[in-house]
Amino acid sequence: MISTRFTSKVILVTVIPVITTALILGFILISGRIDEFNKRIDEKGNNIASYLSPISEYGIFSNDFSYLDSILAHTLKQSDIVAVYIENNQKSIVLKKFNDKWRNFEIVNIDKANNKIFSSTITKTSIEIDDVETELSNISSNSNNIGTVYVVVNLDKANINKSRIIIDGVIITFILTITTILIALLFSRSVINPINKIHSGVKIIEKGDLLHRIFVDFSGELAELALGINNMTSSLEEAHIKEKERADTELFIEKTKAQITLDAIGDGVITTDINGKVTYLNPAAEKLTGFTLAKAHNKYISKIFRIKSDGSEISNYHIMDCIKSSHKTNFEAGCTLIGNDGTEYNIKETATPLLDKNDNLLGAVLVFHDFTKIKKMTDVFVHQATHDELTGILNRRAFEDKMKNILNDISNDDTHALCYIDLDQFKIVNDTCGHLAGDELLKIITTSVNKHIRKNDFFARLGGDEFGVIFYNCEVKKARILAENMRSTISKIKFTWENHSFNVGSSIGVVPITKGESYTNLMITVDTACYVAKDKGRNRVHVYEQNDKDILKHEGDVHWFQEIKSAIENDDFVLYSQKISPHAKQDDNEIYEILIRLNKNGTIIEPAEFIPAAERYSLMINIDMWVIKTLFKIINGNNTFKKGTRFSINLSGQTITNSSFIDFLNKELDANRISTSMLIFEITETAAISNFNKAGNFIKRFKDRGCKFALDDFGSGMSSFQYLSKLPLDYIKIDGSFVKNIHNNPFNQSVIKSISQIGHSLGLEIIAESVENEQILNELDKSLIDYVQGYEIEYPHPLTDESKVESTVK
Amino acid sequence: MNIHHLKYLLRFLPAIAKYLSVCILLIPSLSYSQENILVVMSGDQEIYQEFYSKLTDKLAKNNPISKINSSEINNEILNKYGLIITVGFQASIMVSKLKVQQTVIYSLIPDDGVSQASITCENKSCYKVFINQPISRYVSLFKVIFPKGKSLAFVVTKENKKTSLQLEEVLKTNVIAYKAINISQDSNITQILINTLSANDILLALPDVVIYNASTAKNIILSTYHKNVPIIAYSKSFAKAGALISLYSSIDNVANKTANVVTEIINNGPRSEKEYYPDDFTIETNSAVARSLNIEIDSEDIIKRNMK
Repeated sequence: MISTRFTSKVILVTVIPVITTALILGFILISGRIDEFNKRIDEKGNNIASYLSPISEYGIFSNDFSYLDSILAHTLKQSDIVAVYIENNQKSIVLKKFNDKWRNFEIVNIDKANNKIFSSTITKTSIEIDDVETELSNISSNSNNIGTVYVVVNLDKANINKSRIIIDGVIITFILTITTILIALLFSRSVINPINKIHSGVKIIEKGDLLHRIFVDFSGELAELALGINNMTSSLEEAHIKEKERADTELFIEKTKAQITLDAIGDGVITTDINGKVTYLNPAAEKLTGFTLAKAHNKYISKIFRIKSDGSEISNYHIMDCIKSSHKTNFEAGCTLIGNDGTEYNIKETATPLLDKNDNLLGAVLVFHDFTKIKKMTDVFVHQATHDELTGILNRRAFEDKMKNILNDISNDDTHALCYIDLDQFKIVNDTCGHLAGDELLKIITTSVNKHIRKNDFFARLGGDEFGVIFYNCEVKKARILAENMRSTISKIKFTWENHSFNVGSSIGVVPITKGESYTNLMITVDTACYVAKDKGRNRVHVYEQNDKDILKHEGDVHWFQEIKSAIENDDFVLYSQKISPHAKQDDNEIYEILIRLNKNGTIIEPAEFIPAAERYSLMINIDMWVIKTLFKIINGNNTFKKGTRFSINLSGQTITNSSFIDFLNKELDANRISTSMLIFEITETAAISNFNKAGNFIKRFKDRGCKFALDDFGSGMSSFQYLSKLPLDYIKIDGSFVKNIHNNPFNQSVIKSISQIGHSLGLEIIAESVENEQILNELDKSLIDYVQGYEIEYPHPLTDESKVESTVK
Repeated sequence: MNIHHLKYLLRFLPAIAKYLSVCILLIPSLSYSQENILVVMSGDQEIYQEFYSKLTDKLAKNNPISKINSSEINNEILNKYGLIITVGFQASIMVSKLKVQQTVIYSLIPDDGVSQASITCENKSCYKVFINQPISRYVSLFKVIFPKGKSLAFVVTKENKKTSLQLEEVLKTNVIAYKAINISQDSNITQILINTLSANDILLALPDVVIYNASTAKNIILSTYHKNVPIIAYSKSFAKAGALISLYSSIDNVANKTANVVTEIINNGPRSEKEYYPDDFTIETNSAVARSLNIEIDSEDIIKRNMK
């Protein structure tokens, strides 16, 4: 394009002036020749007329023009001379002579377009004939003009000649122009050709062919320019080579780095060409696929990278979709890679299109990560999270999830049943033979019951000796039968452990699962049904029915569940305290047991009303936490407590076995800066023994912080002095049932004495509770009892009424 | 007057000078010797200056000669001189109109009728020296160059009637055939000559401005040429214009005659003869015309000698 334009420009620059000059010269030539021709015609006409005019003078005077015949004949022989005529001074034509060719010519009708008339005046000639001038010798005619000679020249031939002149001129001009143009083109080629060569050379070089050189077969400045370009190209080529070497070096380094990186990373990397044929595998990919790079190279990816998803092998692998669509594709959810040796790996992989700098597709790169081990670990964790470690069946959390899912998906037509199994007398096994025996029994029971569990049913261990079953797509009637079978199976188990033989029964509650029920209500209902079964004599199945009297009776407990939760949220509980006074020793540091009451609309409700329900519905930890929070707040907000005053706080078995409570208590102690020396925690003998290890750990942890511990209600349960030595206690509170009748029951006196002696031998201080009167107080031997508590000492009263004590806040 | 005329007059200067010197030697003896001479010039033209020069050369040296241009003259001036010589037609006319009483010699004037009528002599002491030659000399010339077989034709007008009559008498006397062609002033002389002349005729052109003047000369010459009629003319210019031969008075011829007349008057008193022609004459031939007309003609000297 540039060449064409340049050529055109050069030609135009060269030719236009030439053409213009040639046209001007042609015009000048033609017009000059025509002017000259016209001039010659005029000259000819005028000459003839001028020649004839003087010699016609005589004819005018003599009226005899015969002497002109030969002259005129000669004149009129000229083909373009049409006529000669002479007029006298009266404008009368005195002579007319025509060319033979124009004999029909009429002077009066001269076509002036094709003829031209030349004239010359005939004047009278004066000739001096007198030697001496006289007055009369000057006589002459009044007028010297005596006539006119006219010569008529025909212009046809002249016009033809003019046309010829024009044609000749045009032809000459044309030939001149063409010749000049050809010469100009010839000369312009000497400029255009080098320029074109330079231009085409530069174009080739511009496209990157730095080896190209302009062939210089011309000279002058353009040759210097071309050589300069060649030199520049050479320099550029050298620079390019150097740059390429540098880039190659860098590329090699980068490639090596990338290779090392690819070799080092644990993820598998496979690259393919645009046809899906393998071009590269890194070591990780080799290991997982079982193919070496040499074997896999140029093979289709589907042969090397075999995967399956949802259990079936995928033949049309999506990497081809990636290549075809040029978009990233992946198996985020994971899939299974089948190695060459059949080994399967859980992988997550991503296929990404490989594009060059111009976004042209080169192939694809497949990156996959082996998470087989992680998946196995995850599966284990998931199993552990959802299954009971001891029995291997679902745990309470998983059971709860299944229930919630069923409740979410249930329709009006669905009929499912929930079964709650509570083992009877299991505690005896534990207490008698230890936890190992209990655990073994639980395994046996689980195995036995599991035989009655259908394929779609769910069987879970909900607590220590509590189990739950969801009978899926099962009517209550059927569920009753299944539950009865399970009960029967359990009752037939004879468990023997170290010479001890046990028969274990089970109380089973069954409720239908209906749409609209909440999980909590269902659990309360089935628990109630189980409670009813247990209440009716154990080892039986109780199926919930509408308006079930037994259930309704138990619903009072259910009522307390809501009341307790509401009281905690609304601070309806009230702290009371009862003084524990030193009995034998002089101790000014008084102890106050912290008691709890429910203030329901101004009515103070004793704990005996709601504690059982709280224990049943696992709300004791909530109550204990409320007590501690409230007490610590009171201690911090009251500076009237006496120095050395101690507060004895009751903790339930549920509380001390809950790991979150430990964190809670540490946090509260730290936050309220309570001196731990003023705190005594009372744990019932039953709670401590039932959760011996956890109770021991709890006591030890907070004893280390400075707190003291008392074993409450000692003697009421399975009192074992062995426990006393194993638990790091400070006090023993003898169950009130022994104290109340001490004055008339020698057995009680012996029990108290025994407990006191053993306790003292272990370094423990003995507290006697339920000292309700003076008689009892007096019966208590001061050598045996260190502290007394009861109505005789002080009636319980709201803690905030206590104003006699000094602040003990740190 | 053109340059040719002047050159022609210059030829006679030496002769005129010699003549005048003789005259001057004789002047002291003349009665008019004490009178002053006034030369009235027609103009400053060379021909008049030449004539004056020749005239003064030929007159006696003791005669005081004064010169004045005709445009400056009046009676008071003229009255201061005893003899007045006019040179040329113009000066002659002017002096003639002043009607002076002194002796006047009108010199270098034509003798045609018009001139005669214009230059009148009011007293006895009035003389005319014509520039023309006498008719007889033309007839003599005709006889010399065309001794036989030719007829002499001449044009007769009302103005030159007298001259024509004289010519006819001379011709008759010399028994020469002649053809008098009468024309009027408004006639087409060319046409008349063509119609009248024949190849045997010789046209004698005598001075007559009505017929022969610058305007008519060409056509007359051409007409006669076409008729093969040679012209015997009266001036050198005419010969050069196309006449075969001219017989005329040169300045020297006229100056000599004028000087002679002056000398005669001064020496001898008033003369009875009032008009004078030059005693000598000059011949001029046109050899080209002669060849064209196929006429053999002698040289001018031979012709002049044969005429004498």
